[in-house]
Amino acid sequence: MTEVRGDLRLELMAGEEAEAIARAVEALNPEAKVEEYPGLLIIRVPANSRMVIERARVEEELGRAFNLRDIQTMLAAFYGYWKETSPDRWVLEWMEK
Amino acid sequence: MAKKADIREATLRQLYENYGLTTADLEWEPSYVSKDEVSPPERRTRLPVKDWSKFEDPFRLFFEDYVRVQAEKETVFHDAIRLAERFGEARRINPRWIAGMKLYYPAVAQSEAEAHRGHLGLSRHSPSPALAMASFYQLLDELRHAQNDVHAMRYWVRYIDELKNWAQIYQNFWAMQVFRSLFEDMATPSDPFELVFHTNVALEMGYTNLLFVAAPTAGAANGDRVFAQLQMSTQSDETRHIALGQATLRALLEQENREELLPTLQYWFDKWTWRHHRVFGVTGIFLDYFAENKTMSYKEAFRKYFIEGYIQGLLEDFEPLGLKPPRFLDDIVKEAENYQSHQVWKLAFQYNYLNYFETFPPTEKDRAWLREKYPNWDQVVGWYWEQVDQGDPGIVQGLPLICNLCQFPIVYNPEDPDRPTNGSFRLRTTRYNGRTYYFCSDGCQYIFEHEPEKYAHAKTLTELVIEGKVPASVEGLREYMGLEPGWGGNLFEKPVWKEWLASQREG
Repeated sequence: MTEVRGDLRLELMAGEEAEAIARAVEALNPEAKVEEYPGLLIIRVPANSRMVIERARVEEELGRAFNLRDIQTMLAAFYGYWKETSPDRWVLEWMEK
Repeated sequence: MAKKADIREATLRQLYENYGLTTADLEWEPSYVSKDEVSPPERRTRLPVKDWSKFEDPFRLFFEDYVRVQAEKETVFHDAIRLAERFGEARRINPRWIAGMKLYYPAVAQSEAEAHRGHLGLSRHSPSPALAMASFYQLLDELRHAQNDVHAMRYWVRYIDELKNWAQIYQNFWAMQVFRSLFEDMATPSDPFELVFHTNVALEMGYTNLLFVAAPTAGAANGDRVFAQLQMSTQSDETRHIALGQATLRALLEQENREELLPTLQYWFDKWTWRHHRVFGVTGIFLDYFAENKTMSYKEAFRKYFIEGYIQGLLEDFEPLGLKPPRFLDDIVKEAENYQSHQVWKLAFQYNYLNYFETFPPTEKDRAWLREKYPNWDQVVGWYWEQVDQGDPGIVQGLPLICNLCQFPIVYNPEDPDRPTNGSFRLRTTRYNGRTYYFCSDGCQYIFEHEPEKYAHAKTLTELVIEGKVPASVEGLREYMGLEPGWGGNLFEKPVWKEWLASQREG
């Protein structure tokens, strides 16, 4: 039934903070891809890697403090499992086999 | 002096690292009353689960932070409504889309309210404190969503009349019964963990992305930013509920005695995946028909969110633990990818004299797009719209036969996907307690035969009419359903559509 595992994916309501998160993901994962839809920003990385959002990098992009828990104010969809949601970084991965 | 932000930061860190402080450590043994009075045995789970410590909330949410995050989201939504009101946005929204909103809001507002009731039960009778807390946040979410949907209807009734009767319409309108049947099941699960399969697994993992992400992009493309903002904001809570569903499923399937649990879990997975497919197929018409500016087809959204996100995503992880693909998956794919939304739209037009929202024949531009997305569209329904083009009103007199399980008219026919409307559908029947029950599909019949005592008593609208409990005339039926004269019908024949076309020409 199952085919190749799909990309890890984060779908965020578009805006300044979503763009900063996309750039922070790209900084750590050169394979990251960002797509824009009306009102929506989609970030994908290959299934066999991981999506890491580091607070320090988001803050650098924004030029101000950012609380990672505010991701919940713009999180429209995700594909993967949250392996970490600590104050310093959030990590999305597929389950290890 | 420490800055306020630094204190917040330190508290956040402490709570994150000591999540037990706000969950397991808050548990206490009741002393004023017995435990059975707080949580009667019949309301608790019957699953023989040995170890509940395996469940953990992936977001480690705690109340103070919940309030802060949700308040921010509510502020944005309320501002969106204020802006829309201030600058008269409603007048710049395509009336085709507005017709869809008349159907959408009553159904969704009430579904949220029923999910709230369901999670009151799970939160109170959960055997795991961490799950009880996660479910508690969810029940607050569901209530907020219901209120936000009602607030959106308050905004809309300034411009359109139909939503003023939304509660009566939800109770009695013919096409609402499929929603009602599904959503009222949320408040009456056989087991608290059946609710998790109903809401968190099948609804939220399987279908809310279609409803709250795909549909809002279509809303935005048709000028309705209030809808887009509201639904995306709702979905940002659903993501937490999805994580809760993932964590619960994992905790259940990683039990040492999972072989003992599997038959029940598999039945719930099969049942709720089918039930939601039956209902959410109805929402395919928002993407495929109501939206004039289209962003994606129901088929594309179904593949992306349902097949890739839900089915493949879940099975990749849980098939090794014994979960099998949902029974009837082949029927689900066949219907969703070939004809489900077209059948629903045709049916809605056939009964447009019994509707409160407007329907309309697809335009030439719509049809070109539909043929591109659904190569067999002409065989499925194109021929019907050609008859309408040639002056046939396309109306059906009399009430349809309605499925005794899902409460939707029997219009699908998986036996003949190329021409499912040729009238040769295979009717499925079951005798129970001296009565014959009719079903639209193998899926609905299978569920009925597993739980006849639960579903046998729900009469369909057609049965109520035959028994004389509901008026048999068009006028009487409309009144029973809460419909006022002039509501419903063909949008393209109404002044509001001509005014819209004129305003578009003026630019």
